[in-house]
Amino acid sequence: MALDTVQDYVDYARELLQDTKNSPYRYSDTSLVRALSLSLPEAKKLRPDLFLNVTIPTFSTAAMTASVPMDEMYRTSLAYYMCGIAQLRDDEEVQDQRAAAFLGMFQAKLTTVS
Amino acid sequence: MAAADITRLMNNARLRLTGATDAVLQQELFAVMDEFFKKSNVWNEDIDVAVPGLDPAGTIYELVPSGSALIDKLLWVFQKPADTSIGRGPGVNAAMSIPGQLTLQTQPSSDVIYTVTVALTVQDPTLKNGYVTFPAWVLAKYREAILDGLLGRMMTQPSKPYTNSQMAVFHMRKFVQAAASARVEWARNNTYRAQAWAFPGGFSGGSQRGGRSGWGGPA
Repeated sequence: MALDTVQDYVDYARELLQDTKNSPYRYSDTSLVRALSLSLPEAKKLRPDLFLNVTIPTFSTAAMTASVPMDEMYRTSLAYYMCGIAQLRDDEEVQDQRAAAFLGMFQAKLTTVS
Repeated sequence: MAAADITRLMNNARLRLTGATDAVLQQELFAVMDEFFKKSNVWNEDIDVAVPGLDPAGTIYELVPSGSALIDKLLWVFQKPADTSIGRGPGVNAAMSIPGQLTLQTQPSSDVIYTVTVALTVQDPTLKNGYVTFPAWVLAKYREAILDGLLGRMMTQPSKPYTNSQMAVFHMRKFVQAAASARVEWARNNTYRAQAWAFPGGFSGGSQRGGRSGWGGPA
């Protein structure tokens, strides 16, 4: 599955979060899309070169087919950020570790060869 | 630029710069070419300027390159000879305190045409696909130098997957040396072990008075 649209990112983040069964979802579309919107400015802070001539959009659940302006080499980093933010919400110890791991992977994907 | 040459340059850069995007490579290529042209002077253009007789002293003559380029330096000015068998007329003392604005030390008393040679560098806008425009032969002749400049500049960027300060120094040193060699080659008119000229321009009527040599550099 390629990561192109907001829906693609939400679906991929749900796979990593093990939240693919809607009964209902543990993490709502609204919270995941908000995390995606937050991920772009964070990525721009680390890699301004990826956003030359790009205006960072704010996404909403009303437009899940909107495309996400990110170079294809770095798209998984945004999904990792979404997962990290989602897991920060939980206060169990194991979730804190996963949140830190995801946010660390977000940074590493953008700034190192990893 | 020739498509094959620019494709080769970009592919060479991409495989040495893990994770670099084309937009950034194009951004840095502009800066590399600007530095290369300013250091080497290899991109020249002759611009004919018609000067009416008895213009007041200090009259400014606007110089406009034919293509998308920025005038960097005034190299030399010669009178355009009426006889087509002569390459250059007498040399003329001139200045360009603001790039693109030519002033003459002495105004001519009758209408003349001067051939003004300027050194050019790159300028915006770039092409639609983001590439800077400059003569194709420059990339073909100096591809290694340009690649070194591009790699060096990219590797100096902080906190990127391709950041490498040691290799940046290595590549920038090679780039600076290559630009200096290009300047020497240009001064010799790309002629192996030879002077740039066949005989002094002053021979055709110029004077060495006023601190200006009769020779005007590459013909």
